[in-house]
Amino acid sequence: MTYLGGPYYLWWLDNLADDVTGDGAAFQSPAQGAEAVRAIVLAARELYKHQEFSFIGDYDDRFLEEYTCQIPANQPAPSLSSPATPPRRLSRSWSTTGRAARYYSSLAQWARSSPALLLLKSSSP
Amino acid sequence: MSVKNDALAQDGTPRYLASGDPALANYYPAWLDNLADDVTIEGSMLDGAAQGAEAAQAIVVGIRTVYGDSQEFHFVGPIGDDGWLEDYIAGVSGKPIGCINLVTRNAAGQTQHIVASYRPRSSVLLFAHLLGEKFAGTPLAKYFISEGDTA
Repeated sequence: MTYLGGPYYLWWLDNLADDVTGDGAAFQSPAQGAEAVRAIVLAARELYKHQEFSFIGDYDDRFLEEYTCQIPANQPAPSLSSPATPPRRLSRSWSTTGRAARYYSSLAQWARSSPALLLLKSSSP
Repeated sequence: MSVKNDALAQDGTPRYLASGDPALANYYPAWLDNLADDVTIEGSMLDGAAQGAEAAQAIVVGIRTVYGDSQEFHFVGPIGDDGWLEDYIAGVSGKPIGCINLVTRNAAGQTQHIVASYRPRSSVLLFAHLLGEKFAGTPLAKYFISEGDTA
């Protein structure tokens, strides 16, 4: 996980509100609660390969990250990481429907045995 | 389709169901009028990136046609040295969709890159399908529909 060639850390992941919500193209409905959001973010990062941030910055009371990554085909479902586990590798591309569909599928495969399933997969991708 | 902003988050209500900022009701995306010749456009609803002012203009017009008059902005503003951010909601065939759109300008001040991130997933897939239908028979169709895709 790099930004401008140097390491980058998801600082906001360490300061989630108890009732934080997480949402995105891979979600069918928002995840709510620090534990759920953290688990999904960490699971997503396990799918990622070669995540590179091209932009990070504040706007108003928000914080924006723009990044690219790869999602390998036939990626096994990620394990449920402990929040204390340092980031190992990342990936994600929200910008393409085909890759996003594979991402949905992989995340849903992981979510099959967790409460996050309903948030990520309401129908087959 | 929309709910009041003050109802948000208390029960996990998605932000794409929150009504827009009335102060932005008359917002016009001026970046549309100043596209670089080699502008690129990409987003959750398409594979790859379409390049060129004509293609980008056609896609944006197609998107706005799908939205109809349902688009409502939560936030617009500059970000970084050359970025412009839009946070808005809209309706796609009656389904709600939210978008974070990052527009980047080149040194000449022209719109160089348009990157749109949509949610939720069912609306994204429907959106891609509708745009694929809209651009069927044109060179732009390949960005939206791949073999095996379903809405």
